[in-house]
Amino acid sequence: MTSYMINNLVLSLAIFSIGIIGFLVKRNAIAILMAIELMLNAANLAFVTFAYSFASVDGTILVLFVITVATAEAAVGLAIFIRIYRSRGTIDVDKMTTLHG
Amino acid sequence: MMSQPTVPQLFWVEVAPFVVLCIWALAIILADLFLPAERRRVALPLGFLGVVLIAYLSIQAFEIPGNPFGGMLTLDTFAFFCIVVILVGGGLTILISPRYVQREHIPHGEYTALLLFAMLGMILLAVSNELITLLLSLEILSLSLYILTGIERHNPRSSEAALKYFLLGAFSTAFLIMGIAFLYGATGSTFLVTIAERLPAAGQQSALWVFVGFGLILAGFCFKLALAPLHMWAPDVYEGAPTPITAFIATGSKVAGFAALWHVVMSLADWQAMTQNTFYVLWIIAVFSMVIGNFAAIVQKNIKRLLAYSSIAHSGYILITILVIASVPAVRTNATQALLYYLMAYMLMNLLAFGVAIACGRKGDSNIEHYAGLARTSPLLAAAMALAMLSLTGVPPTVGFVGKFYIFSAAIQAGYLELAIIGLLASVVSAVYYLRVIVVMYMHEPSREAAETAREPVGAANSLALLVSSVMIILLGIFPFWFLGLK
Repeated sequence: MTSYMINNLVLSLAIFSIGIIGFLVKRNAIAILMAIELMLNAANLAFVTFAYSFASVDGTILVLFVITVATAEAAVGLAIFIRIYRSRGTIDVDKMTTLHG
Repeated sequence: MMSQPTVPQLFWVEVAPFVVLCIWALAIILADLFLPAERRRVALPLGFLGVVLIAYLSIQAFEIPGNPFGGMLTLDTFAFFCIVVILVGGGLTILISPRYVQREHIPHGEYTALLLFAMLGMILLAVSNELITLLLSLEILSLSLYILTGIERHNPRSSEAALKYFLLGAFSTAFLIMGIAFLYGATGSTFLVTIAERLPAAGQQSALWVFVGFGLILAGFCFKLALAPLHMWAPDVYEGAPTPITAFIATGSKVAGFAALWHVVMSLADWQAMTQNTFYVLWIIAVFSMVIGNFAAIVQKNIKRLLAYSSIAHSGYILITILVIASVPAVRTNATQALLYYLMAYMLMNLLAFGVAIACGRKGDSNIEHYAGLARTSPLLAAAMALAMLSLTGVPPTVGFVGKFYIFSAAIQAGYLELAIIGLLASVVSAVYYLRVIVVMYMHEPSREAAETAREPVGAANSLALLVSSVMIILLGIFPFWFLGLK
């Protein structure tokens, strides 16, 4: 494992962890969505790093698919957020307490 | 070295079910656009017709085992059974929908098309043999289900369920993608077959990456399958989503998820280093799911939440078969049969229970108390619900009993006696809450208001679905080989 790989993977895992922490501590749905996007892009960085080390195109192509997935998710997610905001005037996830046991 | 891309040969008959289903769903959206408002109801029957057509095309496609799209999909016997289960489930879901869709003013075209897209994701997930395909099918499935969960636009509970489902679903997808990255990094391929071939040669560092990758993928699947430490979203989403969609999430997405997990586990199962270490993780998840699901269900007052916790417990039972497949090659065939049979059984029992819930639930009311005296006001519905509950408990001669028998005997053959015992004890606990529903229906007096107001008619399609699933629950319980002998 060469040094660029170590650097990239450490960076990737760091971004991924920041995403997880963001998901857990943020209360605004948009901020949570941004944290998820961070995690997806951390995975993209890992894909490119591995693809470079194998000198194969598979990993690079995978990144394009992940970007597409992330976009589709953002589109659906933002639509849901708007729906929630219209009916409640807030997208704070702590206020989502209608459903509970 | 850059690998030279080759154009794989494509046989129309092999890919027809997937292509036609996609076109069919798009056609329904388009038709919905041009039809006058009062004719739009035709979407649901059209959707059902589509499911029948896909069933026919799938039988054609699976005549000869094949690997279309350059080996990205695999049309093997396992996938065939999964597709049978998914199509039966999808068909029944469409049958139980019309009344509900009508009552809650859900747009017919979008509803049907999204349901078909979700089914497309499911059947692709069942046949995908490559990680990119797996990821994309899972996303087709998940995105359709997020929208369907929130499709009751004027019901804040539906939107809230969609928000929770979306956030946690997207979070778990991120784990899955990171896991795929590490598996790819360890082996240099995204094809499960190639990964299985390259694993024995893996060095220490690659082995570590495989473990990390599999752990992350497993975490992603635990979310999607509502397995124990990561099950918290399920009760809220099940309660808030439109009831037919809850039925579809509870059944179809679990079948597809377990099919995909089976493919991933099978590609790693022959690698010695893997089998010894994954054992503990899967064991713990299975036990947690069975215990937490069953105990939490006891205190539930809402039938949809009760079924949500029960589905967590059932995922735990099903995970036992995955554990056996991963760790004991000798029992693999038996465990796979148990897995397939239980998926079918689980699908039928849950769709029957949700079908009754739709037939006798008024707007936003799915409290168990609401079923008091149902045996007197509508005896047939009460009998169907009782059958579903008995089957979920595992009483012979229903599919639930045979399914649990297969699972626990596979576990005992593989030497996991303690898992079988925990599972049996958990089933005994589950009797407490399943039988409570029966007690409420048969022993409690109906409330005055329920006795006076005439119940709205169940509807032909819903009655048909309830009848078909009841008959299949009993027949497949008596003759399990009718299903297992299909191919």
